Amino acid sequence: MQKVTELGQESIVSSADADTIDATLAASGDAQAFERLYRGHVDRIYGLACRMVGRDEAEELAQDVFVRAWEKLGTFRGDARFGTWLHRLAINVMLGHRQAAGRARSRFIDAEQPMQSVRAPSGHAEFNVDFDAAVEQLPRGARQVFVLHDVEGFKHREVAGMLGVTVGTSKAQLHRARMTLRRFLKS
Amino acid sequence: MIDDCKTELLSEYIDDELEPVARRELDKHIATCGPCQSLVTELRNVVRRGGAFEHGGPHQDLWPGIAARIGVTMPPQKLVPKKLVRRRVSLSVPQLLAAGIAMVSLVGTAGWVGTQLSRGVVDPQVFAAETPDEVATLVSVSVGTRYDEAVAELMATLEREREWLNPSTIRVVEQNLLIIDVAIARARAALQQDPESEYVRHHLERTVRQKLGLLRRVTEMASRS
Repeated sequence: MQKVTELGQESIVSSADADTIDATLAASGDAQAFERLYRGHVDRIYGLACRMVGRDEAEELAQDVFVRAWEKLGTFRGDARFGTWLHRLAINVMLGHRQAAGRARSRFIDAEQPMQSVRAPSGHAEFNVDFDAAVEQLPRGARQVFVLHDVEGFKHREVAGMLGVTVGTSKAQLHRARMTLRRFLKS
Repeated sequence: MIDDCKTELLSEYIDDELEPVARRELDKHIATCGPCQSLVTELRNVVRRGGAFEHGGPHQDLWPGIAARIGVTMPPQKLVPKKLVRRRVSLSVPQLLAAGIAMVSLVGTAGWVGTQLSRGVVDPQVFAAETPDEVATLVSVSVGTRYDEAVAELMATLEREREWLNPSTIRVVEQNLLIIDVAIARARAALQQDPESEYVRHHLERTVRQKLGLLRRVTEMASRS
């Protein structure tokens, strides 16, 4: 008799459901449930922080995001996915950090910074790291628009609202960022 | 002619954000302009690359710092981080089947709970309250028969037929049963915290049905072989 074929490897319980359950538990003070949420989302939040503010501040800011999330869990009602809610909160924390640090003035003035300074890739094996580094080398305003629009998928209207600029400025910064990065990819 | 190239519009062009008239004009130009065609291709590559970013983690575990800042005084325990769920399943099939039967036969009774707790799989408070009757009522929804009877019967069938199952299939079943059981336990704990939550109640019912579905599927596979 022939053995049964393999069962599919698909996940039975969705991570979004598990997150919502854990968020409910964490909101009532269950730190272990919150630790599970942390472990499930820290990579993405850290990655976002790296691209938004650079690696030097990314770990500290990622911590800030989770501390703020713990404080705000009571406002999460499961209307959206926990990951979406956390992501929004993270962006607010990161943008608030920038403003609190008094760097807002230079954000969009730095459009005059030379964008051609992004280094070319040193080799195929290091391509991913290099592209990350190239994004980090963009002037802050262009970098944040690029990250929010092309990496995180927000619309210009949303990006403009988050950054407190016009839609036109958001579009212009995005184009500048892309033009710089395409030279990097072309190299 | 390079002066005719409206390169500043190309990002909006590839994002399809131009007005129809402007887009048509640009379409015509690009069709005859090699440099603009190249630039469009390069910009699309950038967009594609940006959308494919991977999320590497921090170099160190940030949890201890976070725990300190949110005032968690108890030492962090090793609980079911999602990434480790699959690796945690190193139990034998008989152990898992026994655990499942014990859990199902009187959801929340000491047998299964004890084994899960001893492995650190489930938070002890998960089973602190709720009577079996309450749970049985909850989880007997829409399954055609009572949950405990249905699952026990399927588990028995599975035990009889398991020799015909591929080892990799058994492994997948084991993993998913444990994941489902943990999900059921978490849902029950969440329901304790928020008894009015329709979402959590629905999730619990759905998870139970998933367990039944999995068991039915695998026992059908075994009986057909």
